[in-house]
Amino acid sequence: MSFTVLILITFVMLLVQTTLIPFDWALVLVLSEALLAKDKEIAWLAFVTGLLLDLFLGKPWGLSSAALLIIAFLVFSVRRYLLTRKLIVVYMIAFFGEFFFNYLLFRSFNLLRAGFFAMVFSLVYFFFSAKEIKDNQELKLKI
Amino acid sequence: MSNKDIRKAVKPFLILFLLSLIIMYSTKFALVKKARSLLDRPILFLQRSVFSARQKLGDSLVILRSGQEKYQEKTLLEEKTRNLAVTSGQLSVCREESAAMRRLLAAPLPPAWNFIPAKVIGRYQQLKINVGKKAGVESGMVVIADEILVGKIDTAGDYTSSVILVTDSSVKIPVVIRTPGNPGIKARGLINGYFDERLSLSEVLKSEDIKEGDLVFSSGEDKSPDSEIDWLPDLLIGKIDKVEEGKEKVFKKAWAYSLLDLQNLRYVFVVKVVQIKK
Repeated sequence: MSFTVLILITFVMLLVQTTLIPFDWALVLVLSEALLAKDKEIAWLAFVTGLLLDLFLGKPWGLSSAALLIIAFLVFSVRRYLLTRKLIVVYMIAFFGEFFFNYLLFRSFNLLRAGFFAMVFSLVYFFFSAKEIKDNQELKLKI
Repeated sequence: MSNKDIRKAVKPFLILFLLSLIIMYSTKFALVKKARSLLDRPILFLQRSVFSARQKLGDSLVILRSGQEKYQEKTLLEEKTRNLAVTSGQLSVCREESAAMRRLLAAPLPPAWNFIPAKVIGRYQQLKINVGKKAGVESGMVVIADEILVGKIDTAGDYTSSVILVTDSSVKIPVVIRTPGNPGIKARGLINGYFDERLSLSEVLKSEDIKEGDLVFSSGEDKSPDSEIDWLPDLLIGKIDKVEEGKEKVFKKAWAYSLLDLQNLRYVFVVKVVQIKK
């Protein structure tokens, strides 16, 4: 998927997030990219998503970008340990991602929200990355 | 992915992180402010359109489900409940204060409070409203609707502001508890938002007799540690619906709910406290 299309999707997701369904769709996108995509793309996506999120939330410009970049980098740097793709690992990453993101942006600790977010994220993540997981397993078998 | 790959990946992250910090700092400058306000307008328009469409759709669905008459009846009853709670709260406050002073003022809320009307244009963890610094809104100002406390301004932009709700888990408000229609304060405590939905009332002495149906008001005293501006006094926050004696020796706990449907608010008022010249 080209970067422009990704940004357009992000824009629509943010509009949905701030008006229709108050769920962290932006973080879903950034975490998924951090787990699956190329390094340069992740950084730029986190940066642009953050700037857009600040516009939608009316927050100081750059605040969400900084928060998303920290989370994306942390996830990116540990993703090599996630080759097993266990549900609990993905769940924990999403849980702490949402937890810290909320704290950095709203200074709010909300475990229930983070738990719910992690559950939805894990399901979405496994649904969309099913093909890649299968390919990886086949590749391993071949090797 | 090796350590070398990670080291290589650090560069774009670091550059963009520094850029974010620079942008954050540069929002003080006029040029960046102008660019921001130019971008804010189309976003504001989009959000307002989608959010009001959602509210209209929500109303239509409720009407479809329960029928036009029942819907109107429900709305009317909800409004009556709110008005009753506000009136009985005011009555308690009025009885306590000088009646002559009240007659002179002829208003339930202090005259030093100016109200800035605002429309709700978005809802995520906080409410987004369509007024900002240009309309005189500043961070820390209290937001009300139907004379009931909604929350406090968290950040104020030029044309929009975000409101942290009373149900947010980071909110702590010193409160007093009154029984509807009775004068005097029944108890004191601290209200905490609970998972964006309910209100948890703590630090109420066991010796104090609070019951279901009692009303919770902001006390206006004690600056809470996480806020720069006090919560204004005598604003209705909610109604107690459960009291737990608990195992603690000194304090008991209670649960309350906001009398407003915070998810579907349309209009709110930002309270600006002005100095009255004598």
